[in-house]
Amino acid sequence: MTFDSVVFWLFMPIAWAAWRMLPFGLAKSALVILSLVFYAWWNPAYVLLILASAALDYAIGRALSRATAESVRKRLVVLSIALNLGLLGFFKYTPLALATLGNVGGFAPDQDLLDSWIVPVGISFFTFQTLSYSIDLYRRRVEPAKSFRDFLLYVAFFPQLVAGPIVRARSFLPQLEQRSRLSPLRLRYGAYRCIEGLFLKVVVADGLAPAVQMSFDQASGVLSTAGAWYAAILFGAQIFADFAGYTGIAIGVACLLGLRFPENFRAPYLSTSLSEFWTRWHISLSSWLRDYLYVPLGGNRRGPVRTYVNLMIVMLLGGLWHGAAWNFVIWGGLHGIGLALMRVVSRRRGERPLGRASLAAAWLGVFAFVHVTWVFFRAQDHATAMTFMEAMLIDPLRALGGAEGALDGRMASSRYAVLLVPVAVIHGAQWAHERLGAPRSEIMRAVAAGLMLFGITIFRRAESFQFIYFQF
Amino acid sequence: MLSSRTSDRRHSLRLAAVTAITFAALQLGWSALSRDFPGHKDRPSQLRGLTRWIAEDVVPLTEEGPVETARTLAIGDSRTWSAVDRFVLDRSELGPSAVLWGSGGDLRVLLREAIRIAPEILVVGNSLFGAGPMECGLI
Repeated sequence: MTFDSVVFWLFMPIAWAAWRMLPFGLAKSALVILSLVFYAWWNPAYVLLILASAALDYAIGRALSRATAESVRKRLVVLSIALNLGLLGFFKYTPLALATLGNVGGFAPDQDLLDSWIVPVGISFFTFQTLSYSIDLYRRRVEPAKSFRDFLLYVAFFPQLVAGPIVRARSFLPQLEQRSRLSPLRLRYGAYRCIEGLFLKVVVADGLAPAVQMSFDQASGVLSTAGAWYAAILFGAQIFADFAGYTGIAIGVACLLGLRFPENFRAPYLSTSLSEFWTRWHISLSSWLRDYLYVPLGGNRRGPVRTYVNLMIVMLLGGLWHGAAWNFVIWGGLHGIGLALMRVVSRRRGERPLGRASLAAAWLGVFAFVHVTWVFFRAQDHATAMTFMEAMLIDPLRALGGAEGALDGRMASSRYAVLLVPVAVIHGAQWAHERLGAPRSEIMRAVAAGLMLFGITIFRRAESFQFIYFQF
Repeated sequence: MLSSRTSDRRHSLRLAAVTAITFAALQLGWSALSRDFPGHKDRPSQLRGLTRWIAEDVVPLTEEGPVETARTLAIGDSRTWSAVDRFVLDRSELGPSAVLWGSGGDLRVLLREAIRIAPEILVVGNSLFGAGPMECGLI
C-alpha cells in the first residue's frame, strides 16, 4: 500500500475515524493494528521483524530507564546499538558483503541467494528511530515510553514507517499522552500537504521517470554534454519530487490525524553551500547523523583535521545508509570531500559575508556539484556513471581544446523541462519567503491546491513508479 | 472563543470553495480545449501502414495489419517489414498476420509491445544491433 494508491486513500479515512473517534487508549491500539496492516500489505512476514525489533528495544529501554549504574547503562545502550545495527547490517548489507568478499576472495557467492534476498521495506528508517530512542534514553533526553503499545506506535506509525521522515521519540511520544485538538488550520495544512505531495509524486516524479530512465539506460557514449547535464538535472528534480512528495504526504497525513512530524525538505536547491544543502535536504536524516554520529565522533571540537575525518566518516556512512552498493558510498564520499573542502575555504575566508555575484557563483557551484554527484546515486553501474562524468566534465574540456564533435550526441526530449517548473516554483516561493519575507498566503495555497488537483486528474500517468526511497 | 472557531470554519469553507472553483474552472477549460485535440497521434506511413508513437510518446513504431488481433505478429526493423509477405501469411494457417516495426528495431520497445499484445505466434526478425549492447544480456 503506497500513498499514491487508491487503497491507501480508502484506508486513510478508516485510520482517521479510528484515531479521532474511539476512546484514546483504544484509538492508539487501533492505530498500531492499522499501521501493521499497512506494513503487512507489502510483506506480512516482516511484521514479525518490526514487532521483534520494537520488543527488544522497548525491553532495553525499560532496563535503561531503571538502571542507575553508569556501567550498566552503557552496556545496555551498546547492546541496543549492536542489535539495531546488526539487524540493519544483516538484512541490508549481506548481499553487498557477500558479493564484495567474493570479488576479493575469488569465489562466487550463491547467485540464487543474492537474487532472492529481500530487504525489508523501511528497515533503515525504523532502526534509526529505535536507535535514537535508546541513545536518547541513555543521554536522559527522553522519557521512556509509557507502554509497549506507545512504543510500537512510535516505531510502526504508518505515515513514516517505510520512508520517513525519521521521527525522534522525544517529539513523538509526548503527542501520545493526550489527543491533540484538531484545528481547522491543521486540517487545511494537512490537506494541502497531501495534495502537494501527491502532485509532486504522480505528476512530476513519475512524469520525469521515463526520460531519466532512458538517459541512464542509453548513456553508453551517445549522450551529449548538454544531454548528460539535462539528464542529471531531470533526475535531481525527480528525486526531489519523489522524496519530498512522499514525506510531504506523510507530514500531511500526520497533520490530518492531529500529530506533528518534523519537516524533511526546505527547497534544497536554493543552497549556496554544501553544509546548507544538508540542512535543507532530508533534514531528519542529516540531523540524525549530526546528533548521533558527527557530534559523538567529536564534531568540529577536535581540530580541523579531525573535523574533516569526521565529515568523511559521516558522509560515507550516510551514503551507505542509502543503499547496499558502492555507488552510494562514492556519492557520500564525494559529499564528504565537498564538505571538507568548503570548510577549508570558509576557515581561510573567515566570517566575511559573500557579495551578490559571489553568492550567485556559490549557488551555481553547489547546484552543479550536487547534480554531478546525483549521477553516482542514480547510475545502475560504475561504467554508466563514468560515461556521464566524461560527457558532463571531460567533453567540454575536449571541446575547449579544439576537439571537433566533442559536445555532439543525444539528449532527452526538451518537453520534459516543463516538469521542472513546479520544482522551480516551490523553490521560488521558499526563496521569496526567506529572502524577501513574503508571507505564505492561504488563498494562494487554495488556488495552488485546485491547480494541482487538476494536474493530478489530467496529467497522471498510466504507469506508476515505486517511490525511490522505498529501496532504502 | 465560539465565534473564533465559527469564523475559522467559515474561513476553511471559503478556502475549500476557492480550491473547488479553481479545479472546476480548469476542468471546464480543459474539456473545451481538448475537444479540438486529435484523438490519436497516428499518421499514415510513407509507404504503407500506420506510424504511431508509443512508449510514452518517445518511440515511433509502424504497424501494418490488425496488430491487436493478428494470430501471427512479426516484429523487427524495416527489413523485417520488407521481408514479411502478409499476402502469403494471411492465406496460410498462420494468418491473420501483422507487422510491427521500428527504425533500428529496438527490441526493448518492440518486445514490450509484443508482450502487451500477446499474439499466438511471435516472429522476431532483427539484426544484432536491434538487440542492444552485449552487456544488456539480450544476446
